[in-house]
Amino acid sequence: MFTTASGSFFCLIPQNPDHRLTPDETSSLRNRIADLLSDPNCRPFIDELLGKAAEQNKGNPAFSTDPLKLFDEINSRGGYNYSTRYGYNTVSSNLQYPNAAVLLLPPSSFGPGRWPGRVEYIANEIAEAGLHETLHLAGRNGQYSDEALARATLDIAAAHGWKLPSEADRQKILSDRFAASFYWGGILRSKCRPSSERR
Amino acid sequence: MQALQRKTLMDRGVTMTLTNSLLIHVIGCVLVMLFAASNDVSQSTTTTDAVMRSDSGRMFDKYGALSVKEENARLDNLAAQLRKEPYSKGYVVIYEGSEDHIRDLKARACHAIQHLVVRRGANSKHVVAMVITGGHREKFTVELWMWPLEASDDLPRFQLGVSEKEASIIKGVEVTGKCGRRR
Repeated sequence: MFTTASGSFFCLIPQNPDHRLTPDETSSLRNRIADLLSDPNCRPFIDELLGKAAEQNKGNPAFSTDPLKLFDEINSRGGYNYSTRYGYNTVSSNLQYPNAAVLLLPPSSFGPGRWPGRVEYIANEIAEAGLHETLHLAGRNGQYSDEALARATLDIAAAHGWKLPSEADRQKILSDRFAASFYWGGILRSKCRPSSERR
Repeated sequence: MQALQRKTLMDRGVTMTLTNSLLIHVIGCVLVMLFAASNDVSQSTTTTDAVMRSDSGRMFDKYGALSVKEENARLDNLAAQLRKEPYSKGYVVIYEGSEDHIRDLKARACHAIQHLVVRRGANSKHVVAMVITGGHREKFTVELWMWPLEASDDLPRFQLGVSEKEASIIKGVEVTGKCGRRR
């Protein structure tokens, strides 16, 4: 799709589907991620997750295990962006580079429906996605992939005696990026809930 | 003659002015495009990470026990978004609550898929329902998820390590007959 670039009437350039969150939107996202982190189960899990991911990925230690420090570092680079480019939440580049960025689906990707509590729900969902994607960029020398974070989560689950998937499911989790993402992301969600859902 | 020369020069001057203007415009366009490209955060970098995808779907909606009318409105919203995103797959994931006693979970899942496919025209290959038992949620919960189309039909099972025997899948392409009674 092509569109005219602002200020250049005849100038046709490809439309950029990404847009960086405004300072207000960024601040609101950071506050909501801080709210998720206030779940008492959240930070201990993330500390362990990033510690394990670093241990298993030699040469790629964690830049920090504090998601808010990571947030600020990413925000000083490519930042947090709304993007409909891929149809899912993702990241771009890594913290070795000045363009490391998180790409989040915008509120409009949650459909046109309106009912009470909808705006709050969407804001919390974007925060959950923001935290998930931030952790992908936690490595100092590269991304932590879904498979790497799923492997770390499986080890943590085994160490804590949490219910483990069957051997066949473990194999699928470690070989299918969507299953990997859903597995470790599901554990992250269960540990880092918004305060409104903890009451 | 002089008047003719003056006219020709004026014409040339106009042509030169137009040519210069066009040149400046083209340079401006190139600069705008370069600026746009430099701001395009998802453009590839020299790292392999740029092509290594770390994708997560979205929990599009979540609700508990609703009336048929209210639930249909939530499903309509999903159907509308699926139409906008033909490369996405919609999942209706129904969790049995360990603390409540809502029955006919499969009939609910079947009705949801029928509503999406038959009444709202969603592509039957792009919608899947899953009923999950085994006490993974305290209360009856319906989660609507959207993931890329290439994700497997049993994907929601992996969210919390749900075993195969705790999950029943109803694919959109399988829903042709009646669903049974929903109470």
